[in-house]
Amino acid sequence: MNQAPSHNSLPLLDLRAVGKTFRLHARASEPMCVFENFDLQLYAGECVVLTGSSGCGKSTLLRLIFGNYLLQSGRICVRHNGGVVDIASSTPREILRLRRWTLGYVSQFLRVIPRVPALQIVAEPLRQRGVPAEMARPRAAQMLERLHVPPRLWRLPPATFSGGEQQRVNLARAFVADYPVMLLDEPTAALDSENRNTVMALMEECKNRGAGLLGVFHDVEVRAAVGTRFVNVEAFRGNHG
Amino acid sequence: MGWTCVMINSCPSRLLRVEGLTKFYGRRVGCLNVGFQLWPGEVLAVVGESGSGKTTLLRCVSGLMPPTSGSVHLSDGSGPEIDVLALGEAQRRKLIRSDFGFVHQDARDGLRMGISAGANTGERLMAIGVRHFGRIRAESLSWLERVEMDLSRIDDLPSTFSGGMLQRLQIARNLVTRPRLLFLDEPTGGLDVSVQARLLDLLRELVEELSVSVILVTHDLAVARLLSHRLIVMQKGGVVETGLTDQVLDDPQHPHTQLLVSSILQT
Repeated sequence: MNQAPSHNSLPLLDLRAVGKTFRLHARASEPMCVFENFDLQLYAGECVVLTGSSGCGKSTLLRLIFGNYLLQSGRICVRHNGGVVDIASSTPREILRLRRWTLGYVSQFLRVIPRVPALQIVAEPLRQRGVPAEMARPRAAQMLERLHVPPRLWRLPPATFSGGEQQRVNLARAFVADYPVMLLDEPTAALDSENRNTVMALMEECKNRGAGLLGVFHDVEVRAAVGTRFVNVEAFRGNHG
Repeated sequence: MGWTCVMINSCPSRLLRVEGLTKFYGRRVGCLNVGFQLWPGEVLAVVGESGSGKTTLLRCVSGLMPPTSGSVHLSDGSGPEIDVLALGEAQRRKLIRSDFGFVHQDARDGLRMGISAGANTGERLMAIGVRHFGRIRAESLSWLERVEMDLSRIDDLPSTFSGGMLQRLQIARNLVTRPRLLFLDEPTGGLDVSVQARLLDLLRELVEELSVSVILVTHDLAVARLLSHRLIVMQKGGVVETGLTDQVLDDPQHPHTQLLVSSILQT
């Protein structure tokens, strides 16, 4: 269960000696090393579950891969469009391109452009890939329907939605496009059991089409159902933290 | 084959290349050794406190003010790059009229207050050689409509307009000639928050739709997050940090950027 798949194919993600240290200049405090020398290879069809106590850097790791946090030590190589791209040496334009085609990310909380209707938010990843609106919207609607977001909400911006509804918009936006790599930060945290089942089914479909999933799941049932391998981030804790 | 595709897709020709741009006001530094590149459709935000050199940089790049040293090269994707600062006055003016748009913080600086709203948009079209009156009128109307102006006001003088309307008129006046590069200097500064929000939505939609390249100067990090792909942080005339907008705002590295980010409530 906890073995990396032993196939010959190249990993979708290849993390080597990744470390992250935060320096808060105003506090004049010691740099805080969250983790160091983190290695991981993520292969097609697997779902790697990041474990470890709160604050050990699980979300930080996902943000580093997504390019939202700056990678200063180590390498994160992403298989992209037949080649390999290293996040550490990528320009902002290249990272935006990775996000458009290769890296899907479900954050803990929905953070979107205000005043944009939910349907448009969910259609956005497809629109950015050049899919015409009249084709992107029905697919977005289908995904919202699957996640039980009532149609009367589709025309409204999610700012006033409940936490659970916002998270389902967030999930719909990430699952609407077929990303080769999915980064999931507690995707089922605010969901009822019915929607949690839907998300587990969506993740299973991702694995079946050959995507690689890397995520943080506190829900024991979800972990057991979708996880194929577990990696404890705490084991890479820095010396200075 | 895969690699070739990546390369082709990743290299639409660069629009702008700025190197070593420096401006002194006497012995005082305006901006110091600033360099960056800009690609078609990209929105670059320049942020920093007032007096950090943002507007000086914008004015030097856009040709409104000559820098002390440095270079600005513009490329149209086909021919060789144009050395903007080496152009003669007439050529430079022509380039600015046809390829650049400049939206000032105070719309009164970017509009002709003594002629009607319609004439303000029409004048820009005439300046690039459009002569047919019917076409000018139709284009003006269509742009005023796109920026959500009340069309019954097209023959009114801008001096009778509210701040939000003036700013929308200034945007229409700049976009009517379809510039490749748009300079925005604190475009929502000094407006009510509700007017600001509507104007930001409008700018975001237009920029996406026209896929025009933008250099946006703002002290408001929330505006930068909303509109830009990339960020340049300035302090005392120099660039202290640059990168992907969400990365710089969520994981700022430089002490000054950390100070700016920690000083706002939420972005």
